[in-house]
Amino acid sequence: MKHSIKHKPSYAMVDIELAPGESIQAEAGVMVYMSEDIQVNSVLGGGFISALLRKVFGGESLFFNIFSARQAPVSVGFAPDLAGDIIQLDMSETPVVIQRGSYLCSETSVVLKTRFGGWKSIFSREGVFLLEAGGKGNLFLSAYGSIMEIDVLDEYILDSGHMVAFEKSLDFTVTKTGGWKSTVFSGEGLTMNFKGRGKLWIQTRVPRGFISWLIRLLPI
Amino acid sequence: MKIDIKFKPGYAMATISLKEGDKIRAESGAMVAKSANVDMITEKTSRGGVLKSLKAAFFGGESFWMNLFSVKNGKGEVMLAPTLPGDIIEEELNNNVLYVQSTGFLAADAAIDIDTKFQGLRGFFSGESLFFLKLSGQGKILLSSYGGIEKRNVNGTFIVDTGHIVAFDETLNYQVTKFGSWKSFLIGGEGLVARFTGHGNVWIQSRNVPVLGQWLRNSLPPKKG
Repeated sequence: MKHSIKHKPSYAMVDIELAPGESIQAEAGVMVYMSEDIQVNSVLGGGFISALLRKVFGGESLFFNIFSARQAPVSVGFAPDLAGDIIQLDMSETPVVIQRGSYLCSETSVVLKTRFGGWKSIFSREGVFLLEAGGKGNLFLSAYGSIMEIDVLDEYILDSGHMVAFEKSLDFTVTKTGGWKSTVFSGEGLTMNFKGRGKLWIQTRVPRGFISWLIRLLPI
Repeated sequence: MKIDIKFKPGYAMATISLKEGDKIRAESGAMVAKSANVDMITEKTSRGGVLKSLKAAFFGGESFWMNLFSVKNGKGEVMLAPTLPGDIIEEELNNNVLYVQSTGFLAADAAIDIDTKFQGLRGFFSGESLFFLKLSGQGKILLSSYGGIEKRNVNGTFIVDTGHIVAFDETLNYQVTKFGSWKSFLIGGEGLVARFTGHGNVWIQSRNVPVLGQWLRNSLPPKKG
């Protein structure tokens, strides 16, 4: 499987070339273009119950699409809904936990599971349902804005809206910033406190931050 | 007419240098700035009378009026930018025909004829407007995209999500069709796709305007009343 990420960083799109027999799984609705000789199959993501729960609570799609090459090499392009960058991760040992909206596509050798973020995470919309990617192969993540990789050595604190993904070697708890007063008035919302050693990927903008800004401007 | 495109690819803007006799027609509202000796005339989209212009305004999704820029004496320049963030590219028509999705049109040499082609119910069915302007004649044109833009040479068959199409050559046949099998079409979240066959170019943008609209509608509180 060959890939190239174009139009970085603001409006990135990934082009994937599949050799005969190769497949790639993608979030529903992200296909930009594809060769004619490609087989498409739509599957339920991460089991029925978790897919249903995600649909109900997370507003996410129930399904993934799997694109496969038959006899001839084919190409397919994927782009996320929002403006921003795409990164490629080479999965090998440590599984990666992904904020649901940041998953773009992955090789079918990458195994995806839905993970419940814990009851506390219900207050931070981003952390309720997370995807856990294990196995081997290419994984592509997208972000609103740019993506930055942080090496966490012991502890790190992140505004929950900026979370893209983290290595499973990290643990997190969801807390409010300071007292209730600062949660309400600081505009920082909830934070995710990461502990352990591992990589953390963050996005430089938050979709709901942009939406709240628009709401203040609109006559609604 | 010399065209210089700056600030690619996120927030591109085109500066058009005009000499006497040069005329460029741009989407209304696209002008950023111009030299004092550049004249601007506001005119109807197509030359075929009010009815044809109304058709362009209503079905083409483009403004009823376009602005025609020319220089009085000596040289002058006009700067043009589209509404959405994204790129601009320059192409040239040589008596060939190009279909441009209504939001992908920025400007064209005045020698280019602009007409509309109604795409019927298939566009309506997808909930995405699939209206194209038909550009023909000889001269330079400027296409704009939401996000990055790329030109793909099709030789055979190629499938593109309808919201990502900027333009395509008339030499290509196209058909709006469902994505994959019925199951994939209904649950795969891709909606309708365009299936291009033959030989020619198709211009693709890396983001999708209807998807942006959908995201905003889903995210913003419902309108009162």
